[in-house]
Amino acid sequence: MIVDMLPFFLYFVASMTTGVHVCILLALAAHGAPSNPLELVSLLGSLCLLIAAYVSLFKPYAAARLALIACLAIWCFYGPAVAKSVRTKFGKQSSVLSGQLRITHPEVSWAQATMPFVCSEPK
Amino acid sequence: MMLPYVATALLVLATLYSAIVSFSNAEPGKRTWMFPAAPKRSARIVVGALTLVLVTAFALWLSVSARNSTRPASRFLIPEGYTGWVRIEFEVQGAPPLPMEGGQYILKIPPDGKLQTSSGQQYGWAKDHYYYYSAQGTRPLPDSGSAALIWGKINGEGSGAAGKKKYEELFVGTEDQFKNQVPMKP
Repeated sequence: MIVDMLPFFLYFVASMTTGVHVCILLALAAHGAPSNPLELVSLLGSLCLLIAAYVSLFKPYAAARLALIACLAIWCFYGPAVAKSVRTKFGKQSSVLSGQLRITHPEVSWAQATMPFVCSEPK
Repeated sequence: MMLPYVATALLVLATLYSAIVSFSNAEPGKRTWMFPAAPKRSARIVVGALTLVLVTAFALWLSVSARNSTRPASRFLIPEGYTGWVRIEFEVQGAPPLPMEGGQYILKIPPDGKLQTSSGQQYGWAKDHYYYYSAQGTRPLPDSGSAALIWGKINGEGSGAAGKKKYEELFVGTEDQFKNQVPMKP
């Protein structure tokens, strides 16, 4: 019975985790963080994956096709995000200012802070 | 935070699994762990009902937490003709608390632009209102659009010799004045 439920659990857990993650990112956008329209596409994909999870209880093969489409929609956001994270981690960032930005005065390269920077969490 | 990694890993698994099942030709009637048959009717009902309860509970939790993220609105009374940074310092011992009127906090800014209060800083969503005040009365200040006179509103917490200070700052003036100004010194 557990094996029969495998697609359901997989689609359900994947849809909930991706959905909650994107919801958190959208909530941060409401507080001023930069947002991405692809987040909404991803959220729609998570909803479709949730529907696919339910359909998998009746028609596993039809659910698989729906889940594949939903996953592709979610990848619209996760793909570029993962690629950017990997590029950043391995230090291959590109910059339009590369070779153009020069700090010529050493005194502007750093300055001692007069007070520590503190970010307060909303209650 | 593990959530992005867990979400990505599960997404990879779900994509691979759904792609394999979608594009493979499994023998009809043959059950494997990869190609399971539809569960029994009783199992469908139980799992379907539990899923519905879980999703409904999650949606309720989201709506309740969104409702709790509001705060009372603030009415900023700024001296007529004042231009520059306004700073409000919260939880200052010995300072008066913020009065409330019609469910809104009243922040009457002194002529020097610095207000100290013993009240705590409020967090959450609210539509604040801004007015110039004078002996003749008050007039509203636009805080959005091209004619906005309120800019750069921030709040934060700074630590110094006098301990921690919670504050809020905003700039009163035109967009050009805001772009040409220098930050206020605490």
